[in-house]
Amino acid sequence: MKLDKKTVKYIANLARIELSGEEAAYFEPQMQRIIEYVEKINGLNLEGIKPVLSFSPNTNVFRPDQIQRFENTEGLIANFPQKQDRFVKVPKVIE
Amino acid sequence: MDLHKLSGWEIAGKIKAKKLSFEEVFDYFHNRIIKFNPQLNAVVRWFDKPLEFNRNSDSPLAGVPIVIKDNICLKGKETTCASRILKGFVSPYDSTVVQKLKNAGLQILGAANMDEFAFGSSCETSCYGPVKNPWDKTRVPGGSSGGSAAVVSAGLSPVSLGSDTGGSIRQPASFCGVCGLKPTYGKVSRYGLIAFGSSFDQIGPFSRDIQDCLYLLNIISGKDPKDSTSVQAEPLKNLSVQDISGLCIGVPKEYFIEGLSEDVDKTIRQALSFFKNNGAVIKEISLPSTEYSVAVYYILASSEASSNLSRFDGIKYGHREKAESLSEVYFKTRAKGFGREAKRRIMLGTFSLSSGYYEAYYLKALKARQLIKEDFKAAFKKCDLMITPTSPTAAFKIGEKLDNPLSMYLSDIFTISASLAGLPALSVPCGFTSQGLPVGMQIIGNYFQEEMLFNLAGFYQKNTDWHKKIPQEYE
Repeated sequence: MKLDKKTVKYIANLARIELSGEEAAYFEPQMQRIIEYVEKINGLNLEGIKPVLSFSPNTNVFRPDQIQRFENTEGLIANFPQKQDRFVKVPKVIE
Repeated sequence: MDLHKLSGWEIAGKIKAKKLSFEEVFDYFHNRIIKFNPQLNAVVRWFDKPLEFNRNSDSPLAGVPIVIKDNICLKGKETTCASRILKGFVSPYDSTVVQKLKNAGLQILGAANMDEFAFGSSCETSCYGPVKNPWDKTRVPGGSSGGSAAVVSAGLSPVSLGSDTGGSIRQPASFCGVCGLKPTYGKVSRYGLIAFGSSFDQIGPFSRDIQDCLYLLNIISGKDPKDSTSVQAEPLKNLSVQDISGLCIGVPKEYFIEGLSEDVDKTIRQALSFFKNNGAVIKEISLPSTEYSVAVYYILASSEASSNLSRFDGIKYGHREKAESLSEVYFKTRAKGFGREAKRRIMLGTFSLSSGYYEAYYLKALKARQLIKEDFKAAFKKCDLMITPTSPTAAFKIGEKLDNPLSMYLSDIFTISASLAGLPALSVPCGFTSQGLPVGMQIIGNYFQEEMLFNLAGFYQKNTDWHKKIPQEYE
């Protein structure tokens, strides 16, 4: 897989990170080398191998569907970068 | 009295015997942080008095001071993962491990510096600047829990907590000459640990004396309804260090390869001879998929990181950039808030998970992980535990690998396999290079066999004194 600056910018867009042309040029060769390196796994025969989806010995962990109130709501609100009364404030979403 | 030369349990014993008060002990280490931290930058936040703790605990570490890695939430205190994007975030709750430490009577001194979001092997990606290795301040302490390792090494705290995803406890423990354990996946609750790679992350202890590591693990482990991957297990028994005869130690041949420094090779072989002379059986074993571990790990861990870090969007907490529209808030906040390594990993993970590449990278890596897991399963039929070098070299120079991410990733080559398999692994100091830098050996055990790791390390520490060495400046 050959990575170019356009792909780097496309990935950054998916990841919601603003990237300047200069930064894209900085990351491109590094990511290219990392991707070339990880393509090593193509050397493995993975025919019929099941993917590892979990290591936990626990499967299907159930709990009663009961509401538990978080005890420190004020602590949450205090962290809002912008707020009005007890609400998070964000720029207008719908034009 | 030189309290920094004592183990945690010795300090707790003196408190119990009323020879020392909680306050005296806290102040002693608090003052050492004030005195030495400016040259090490290992602690990013310290407190004038301990966070509220149980003064009546009868735990073996009651009253012992501890430093916590800055990705473990402390109620009412800033918790930042050494990232600009979380500057100003005050955790509204305590992580489960912190609650357990407080109940067991430990006195929290402060938060340790780290690589941003635990992405790194050198502690150079922190927004607070790099941590220095107490053995040589021109070198890195390892990472990502480099601050946690450095504070124990320099005697700024008897014990500390770190987190390990691909080697982030063991590699810095090795670089700083202290013990560090990555427990079995599921042993310790991650509730309140800011997530990096959720199928890997484990919290674990650092100490000089191995007994302290065992006590700390007993305190922090156990099932927690708030982390559904956690499991209940019997507390570990006290160390049994009388006899290792007949114990079968596997030595994977794939770990003694080109790139392994001569000094490290020699030191590990000396430790193996020591075990052999004391009756253990040393057996060469094979983990054939080892050479693929780093590749598999960087695909999976970056993918999980890109997903976990999507929560940092500037809306509900942390840093927010000024912007006209909501989507602009995301783009600008994440551009400004994340450092370069964080961006690299997020983009790498986004790439592996994106449409058209998922099968070729992420899914393949999940399958390859199965092979690595099976390698260990087969190998543990032939031995009780394994010994390998923790890292191919001793601590490297600050700046040496910063702009070469691939070379940085390859420094985790020996710790990553056990992480991919979810196995417990411990790094124990076992000597020095000709330049006087510490070397660590990694002991890998089977699932939930931490007791066996501790017993072997305990036997080693009873008969050697590497773990008692303190860098001269911090004597």
